[in-house]
Amino acid sequence: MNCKKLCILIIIFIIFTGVSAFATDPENSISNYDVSVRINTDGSLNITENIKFTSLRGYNNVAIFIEKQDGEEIEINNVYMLDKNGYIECTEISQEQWDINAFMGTYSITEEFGYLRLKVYGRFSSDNGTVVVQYTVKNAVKRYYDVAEYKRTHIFKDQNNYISNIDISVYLPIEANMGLVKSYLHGVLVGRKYFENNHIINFHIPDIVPREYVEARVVFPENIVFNAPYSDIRPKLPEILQEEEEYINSDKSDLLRARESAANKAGRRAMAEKLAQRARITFSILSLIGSGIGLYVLFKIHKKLRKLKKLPLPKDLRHIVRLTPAEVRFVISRGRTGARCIMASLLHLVSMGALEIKTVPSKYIRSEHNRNIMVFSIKEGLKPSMSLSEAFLYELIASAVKIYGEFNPDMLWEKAQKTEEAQELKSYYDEWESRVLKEYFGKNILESDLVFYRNLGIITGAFLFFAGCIIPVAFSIWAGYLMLPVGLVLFMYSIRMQKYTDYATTQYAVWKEIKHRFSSMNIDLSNLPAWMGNGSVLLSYAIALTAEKNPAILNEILDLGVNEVILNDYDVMQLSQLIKQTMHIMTMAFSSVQDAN
Amino acid sequence: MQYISQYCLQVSPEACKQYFIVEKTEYTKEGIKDNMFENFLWMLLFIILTVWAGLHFVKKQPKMIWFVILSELALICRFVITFVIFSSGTDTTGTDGLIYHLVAKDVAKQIKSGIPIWSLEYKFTWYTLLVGIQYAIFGVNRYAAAFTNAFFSILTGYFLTDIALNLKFSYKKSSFIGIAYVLMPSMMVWTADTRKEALTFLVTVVTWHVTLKLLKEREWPKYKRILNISLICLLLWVSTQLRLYMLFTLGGGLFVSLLLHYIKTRRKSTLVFGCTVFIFCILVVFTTVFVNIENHHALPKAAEETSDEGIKSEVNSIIDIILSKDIPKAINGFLTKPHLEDVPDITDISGHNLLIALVQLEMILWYLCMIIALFGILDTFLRWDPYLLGIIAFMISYTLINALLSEEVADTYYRYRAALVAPVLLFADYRPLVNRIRNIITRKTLY
Repeated sequence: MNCKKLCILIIIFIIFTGVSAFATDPENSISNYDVSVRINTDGSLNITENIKFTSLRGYNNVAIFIEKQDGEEIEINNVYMLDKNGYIECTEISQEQWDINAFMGTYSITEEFGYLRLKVYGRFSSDNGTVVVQYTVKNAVKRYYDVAEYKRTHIFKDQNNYISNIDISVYLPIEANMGLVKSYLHGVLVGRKYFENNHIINFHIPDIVPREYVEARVVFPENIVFNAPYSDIRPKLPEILQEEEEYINSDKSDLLRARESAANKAGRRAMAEKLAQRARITFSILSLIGSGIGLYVLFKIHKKLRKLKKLPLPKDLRHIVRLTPAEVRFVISRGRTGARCIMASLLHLVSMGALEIKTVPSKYIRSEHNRNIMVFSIKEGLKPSMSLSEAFLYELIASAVKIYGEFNPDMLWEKAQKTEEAQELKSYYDEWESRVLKEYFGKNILESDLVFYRNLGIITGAFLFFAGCIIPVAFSIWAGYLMLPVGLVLFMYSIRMQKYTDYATTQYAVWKEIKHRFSSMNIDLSNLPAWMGNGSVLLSYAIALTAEKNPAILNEILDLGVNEVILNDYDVMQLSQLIKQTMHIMTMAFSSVQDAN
Repeated sequence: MQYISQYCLQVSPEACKQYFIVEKTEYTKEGIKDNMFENFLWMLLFIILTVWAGLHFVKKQPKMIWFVILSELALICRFVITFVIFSSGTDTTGTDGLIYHLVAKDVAKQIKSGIPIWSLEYKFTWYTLLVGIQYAIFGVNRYAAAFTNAFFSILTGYFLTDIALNLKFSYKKSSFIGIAYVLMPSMMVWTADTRKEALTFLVTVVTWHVTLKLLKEREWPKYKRILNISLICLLLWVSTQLRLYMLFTLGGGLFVSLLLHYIKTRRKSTLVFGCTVFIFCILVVFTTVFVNIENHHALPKAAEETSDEGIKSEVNSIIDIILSKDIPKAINGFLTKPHLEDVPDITDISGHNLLIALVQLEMILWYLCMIIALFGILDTFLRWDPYLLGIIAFMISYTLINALLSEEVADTYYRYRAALVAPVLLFADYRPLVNRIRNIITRKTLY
């Protein structure tokens, strides 16, 4: 690989891989985190957590962490998830639960060090999901000699989530004097707490970032939880106040760093998202422009060719360009050759006196009346001047005659059924076809402006095809896919545009006209070129034009006289059947080998 | 013992590990040593089989012996990976591989208790049944099942190389395709465990291989053709049992290929082949797909709605899933995830810098491979090769189905996409198209 190719590949590669980074997914984030804690008189808690996720990466499950301190017992009462039809109650995955429903609206609990991991499995959409968890925590409130203490971590330091609007409401079992209730919030720099209706302590944290945590602590008179056992009979308040004093004076640089880091990360993500958004918009516009350019080039080429198509048909067909029957077939069928093309060439060689025809019954025709097909052999004498493709065909027939004594189409079908011989036959066919095309396209040379348009079309088409495959995938944009069909159509059209050139369209029109005259039984030799001047030649061209299927035309041709005596012995129907059967064998053989290479 | 579906395992392997109540078997660390001799015999068997099969595939080209040697190396690498993966015990390690192994053990127990094969109860995938049969015959040994997968993977490489040779690619290019396939790092990991990937890829590649042979070989007697068509039908059914949607992707690709082939060649044998595949696919839709669709765990949202309303609801659910997706983003995800920056987050390799670098390198090579394959794909359109066009149809349908229906999880995409590696490698050559275009644009005529 030389440097140039390598550079091109590297550029394409960088474009492709570099942009994949734009398609970053946001981390899981939570837009609302409401916690309602009801303290019971026995020191247990009834907690309801209502969590609204706004973006989920692995959207078929979410994890919720529940603190479990020493001596606590946690019982999950209810888990709900919001479905499109409302809340559905989730069930815990049971043992021996085999079926797929095990992970639709279910939850699992795993106990890890210091917390429970509650995983809810369900039908979350990729960008939102709401889960409600209700659970009871026994022995949660610590009752001391002087005060009772509620202290829980609601959001863990390692939870690694972005959470907004955290509201924690702690309900005391009975009303209490405001002055005797103290509340503390740990783990965040910004947060608000307030006492409401003498028994509700509210905490509001606008948002937290990864590495921050939320710990709520409420200290209240111990007689409020009068049914709870004492954890310790010593006074605790001074110790609590001391701890809180220490917390206030503690180094909170880790929280600051977490904020900074989150801000930096958010900045980077915002920048990446902005760049991605810009890239998407830019490439959407570029895709539309690219598709537009592609369509414009297609239109220009088409217009140019349409212009050429409007060239008038020559009134006098005697001076038309001489084409062999094979070329005529190629022109009239818009680029196909096949068995009909070969048959026309063979009969043209017959009309030139290079080959002669015999008829023999075919092994492969199933008919009770007539199984005859044409076989060809070399006619001794002067070798007429032949076109490239006909000379090649003649040589092939000659070599077959040398081995088998004649060229029988049955032999083609037999070859087509053997793997290696089929490949050989296909290579002969390809060689012959390439000569037909070479002859034809040797005359059908593109003008320089058409060469320019063709090359422009090919290059633009290929470029748009590649861009249409790469850009929409790399940037996740719909508009990019537009380039794919535009590029493919432009590429194919440009590659095949020689079919629609001045020369090609004229030839097509001329031979269509001749075909029309054949079918309207208007075969006036005086109005046709001299080189089509006898019945034998006309027969070969009629085959190329698919006109021999009409018995009346065949009759007309026979009336003009064919130089092969044997054909003169046949009536129209017999000749028609003979041609049909011969061509049937050849069609089967040559179609069959189209995939052999 | 409790089983947890692949659905859960893909997203939370660590939680699943917590949930397994592990049965104590002989395959603990101590047990491994005791069974080392048995494992050694298994490895030796597969090494010999690899050499034998390799020599059979390259018998026409003795120079390709290095190809067999490299394949052998790839097999040994897989053995090493298997030992590394199972180093903490065969009954506790892995995600999908572990669950399939545990289900297979249960299947083996059922077989040993006298339950006939057709009445066996198995879950998740037909692969568990096959492994269960292996366990029942040769004894429960997860290593042996993993080694079998490794061998299947090497066989896939051989068949892929043979496809390339039959497409008249040079020996050098064909063997490069095969070697690239067997040495691809992710391919090594997916096929060195008791996962179903190795068998799925083998079935896919063998199906295309037999199809190519059927299209190319003209001298095969009728009975041989019928046998091979039957084999393809069987493989289609097996692939459907392994992954439900494979019927549509593989069957669809085959149908496109055969239809275009018939249009081009008008061969009756192709018509018969195509009609057989079509009719068989319809039969499988009714007898296998509709029966199993409700339990198809790859559909993230489907199951709950199906219990009452059946297929109609399932189809509606599938449509809902598709409509809920950002399609260009889903296609991006399937073809390009895990993105380079996300590789360190893959649970299985998190923290292993070497593995992370290896996966990142593979992703870069994969991106390159896809870009180069575009040249081959455009060239195929130009040549209008029915066989390769069928493979393109398979790749497109496989991509779309996975992108639109699979979970949006990088690891899942990474694993499911591996089925595309083999066909994409067949197109990964820029030279034919570049030469063709260069030939055209430097001339004033086409020929």
